[in-house]
Amino acid sequence: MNQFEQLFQSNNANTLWTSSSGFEGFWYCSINCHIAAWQNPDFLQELGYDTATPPDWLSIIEQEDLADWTHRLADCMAGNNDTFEAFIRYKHIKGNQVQVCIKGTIIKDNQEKPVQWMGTYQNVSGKNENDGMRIFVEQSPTAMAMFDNSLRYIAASPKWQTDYHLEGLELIGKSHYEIFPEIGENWKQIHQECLNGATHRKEEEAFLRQDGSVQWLKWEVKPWYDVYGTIGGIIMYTEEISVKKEAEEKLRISEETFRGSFEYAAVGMARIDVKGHWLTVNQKLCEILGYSRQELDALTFQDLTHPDDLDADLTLFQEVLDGIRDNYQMEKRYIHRSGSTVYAILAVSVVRDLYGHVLYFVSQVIDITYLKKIEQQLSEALQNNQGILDASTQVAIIGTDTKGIITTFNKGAENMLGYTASEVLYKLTPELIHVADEVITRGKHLSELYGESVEGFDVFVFHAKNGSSDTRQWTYIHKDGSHFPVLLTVTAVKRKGDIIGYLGVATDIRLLKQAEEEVKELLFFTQEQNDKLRNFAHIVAHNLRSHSSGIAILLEMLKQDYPELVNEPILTLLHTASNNLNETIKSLSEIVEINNIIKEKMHPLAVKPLVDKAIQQIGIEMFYNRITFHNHIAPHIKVMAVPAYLESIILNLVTNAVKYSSPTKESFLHIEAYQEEKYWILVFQDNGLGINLELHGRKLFGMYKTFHGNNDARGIGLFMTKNQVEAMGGKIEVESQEGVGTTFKIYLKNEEN
Amino acid sequence: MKKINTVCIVEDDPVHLFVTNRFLTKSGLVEKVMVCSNGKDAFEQLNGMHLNEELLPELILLDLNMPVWDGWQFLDAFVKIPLKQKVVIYILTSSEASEDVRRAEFYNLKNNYIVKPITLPQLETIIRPLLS
Repeated sequence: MNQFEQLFQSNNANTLWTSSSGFEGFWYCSINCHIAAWQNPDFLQELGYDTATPPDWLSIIEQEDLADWTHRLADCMAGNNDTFEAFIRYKHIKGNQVQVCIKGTIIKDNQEKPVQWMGTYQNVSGKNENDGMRIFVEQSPTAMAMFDNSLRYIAASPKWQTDYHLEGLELIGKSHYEIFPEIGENWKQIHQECLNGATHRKEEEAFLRQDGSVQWLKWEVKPWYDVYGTIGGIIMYTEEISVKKEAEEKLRISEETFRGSFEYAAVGMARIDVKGHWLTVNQKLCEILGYSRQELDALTFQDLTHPDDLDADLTLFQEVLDGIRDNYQMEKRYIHRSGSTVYAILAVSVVRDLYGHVLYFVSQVIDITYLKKIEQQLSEALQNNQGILDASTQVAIIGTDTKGIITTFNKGAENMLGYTASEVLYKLTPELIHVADEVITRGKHLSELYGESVEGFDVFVFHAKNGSSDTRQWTYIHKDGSHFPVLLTVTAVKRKGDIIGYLGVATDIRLLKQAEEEVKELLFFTQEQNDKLRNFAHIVAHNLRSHSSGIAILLEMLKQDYPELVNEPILTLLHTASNNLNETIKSLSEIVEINNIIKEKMHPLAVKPLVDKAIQQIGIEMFYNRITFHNHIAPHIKVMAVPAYLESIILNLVTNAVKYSSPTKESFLHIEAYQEEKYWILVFQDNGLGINLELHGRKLFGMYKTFHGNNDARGIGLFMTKNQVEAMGGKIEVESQEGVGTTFKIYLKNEEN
Repeated sequence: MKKINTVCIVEDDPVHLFVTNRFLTKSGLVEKVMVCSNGKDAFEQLNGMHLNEELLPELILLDLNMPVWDGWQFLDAFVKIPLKQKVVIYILTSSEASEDVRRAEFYNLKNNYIVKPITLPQLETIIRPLLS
């Protein structure tokens, strides 16, 4: 033992040291010894051992801590550390552990040779072992409270006191349940479990406050242990996280809202990176551009922008990138997948990070193609309208407001009326160019018709105001005072169903009037001529008949009175002449009659029986000429005709076929019928003599034309037939070749007409 | 043989007048023939007879186409005379025009319409029913 040791063994010195330095003790031992060679005897007493019969040190040290201690000593010996510090748990005689902090270093002699260990020890569990914890709790910046086994306050942090509004209250020693009588059984349960060693915690839990608001808390309740390892009570820790929670919730709602409004927006939306790539696009944008999301992934907005609009877009985009602006809006064109042009309004805003760097762009695209088209159509329509107004140099177009003040006065109106637009626009009403008497008369007429007073400008727009247009003849007054007739149409000009003015379109009908007069005159003249002609025909037919019948009867009487003259050639010739005259006049009368045909006389008539009848009637002639008839007309066929006419026509054609049959061959007459549109066509085809149509065609249906020199050819038959057919609304056609035959086609209206 | 008293011929054409007159004479059924040259002449004479309460002709043969008054004008005036005896009128005309026939129907004379020249048998057929 050296002097140093002796010095330390002196109780006085040790006590002095401890009280002045806060050390609880001092130790030393030889360099080869691991266990303190000397220690304050109080230390052993502290642990409850008798200093006279000290225990084996190794038996009262926690083995784990001893190993750690040994390890640290070795570290120092090796020169890695100059000092060491170790926490060693000693066994109290009662069984509980006392923790001691041991610090130490190596003492070296003059030759730098380690000679001794030396250090301090401090009881870190100590007698008042809970004080450290209590102080920790009291000074914690968080809300924390420490309770004993009976839930009595040992300590509470200021934050705890402010959070729970406990400022100024003396908490220490009071029961938690006394402070908070409202604490429920569930919590008491938790407290009890923690007193039995359990730990409870929740990262977040909502608590309903008395005022109805929600308080979000993060909390933990756990037991604390005293130096003897027994549970001394519990520690509660709470953290108010409502603000954080609200912020989180707001962020979540905000994100949700954005996502929802992004995806289901009525406008196209996209997030775009700084290069122009689509990061995310919504459905609407896909619809507008005609691409799927996958297709858009591979494209940039530059790819889809109309080349003429790209520069403007990129310039603005760059300005945002450069921080000159935060957003921009422009009207631009995209190219749809189909190649068509999409007109759009583009709004771009930027999202930057904390440091002002661009994260991405948000683009909103509104499709205005439809509006653009309408706009273009409207513009075209307006141009057309203006064009019409300007081009109508012969038609006066005069627009007014609802009061009648002229708002439009086109070139045509200027030409027609002699006023310039500037003379009348916004000053005068159309009454200026109308004859006052005409307006008054028309006004009176309207007033009578509709039982309300109509006068002034209302006269022109009365019908237009009630939804119809009004076209009538008026007299206009030229600036030079001359009058002329016009046809004026007035319509209402409406906007959204309300009348905002009227439009009058007037045509100068002077020339038309003149032409009308001429036509009237011509018609009158023609009518007169026609009447004269009719009269003439009538006189011819009627008066001549009177005279000729007189002659005939006188001749008859002459023969009776002077029978000796009967064979006198002159008388015979006179008789023949008289007969011919009578015959002629009879035909003439018939023709005059035909022109007076009345529609009511026409009936549906079956054709076949009439043909049969005609054939029967001329049976005798048929015998002489050896002609065969083939009536192929079906019994059901009916045509609209006057019975006497149809009989006459058929008889005439059948008779003709017989008369002009060829004496040198087997003659026939085919009669058939077919339908064409509204007509039944009766065909009379023979193989008779035929007619040279080139020579006679023009005259075939003329009066008194005979072509074969037959004795009984009256030359009136075909003329009559044609007249009768036409009087019934039909027509007749002929085909013929000399020596081959003749075909007549009679068109007569079918029953439905 | 019975005869009727008087037949009135209203006719402007001398040829037809002659013929009709001749047949009347030939028939031997008529006592007396009264001749009027147009409708107005006929009306005035017959009206005068009516006013004088003379017997009117039993039969009138009326031409249509005449100067001054035509047959129709005569009929219009004549039907207004309140006759006390029966007078049969036959239209004797050279007109076959349907318009005239229709018009005759209007005066109830459709069946009393004869187209000139009249024949003796026709005349006899007309007169016989009038022999009382």
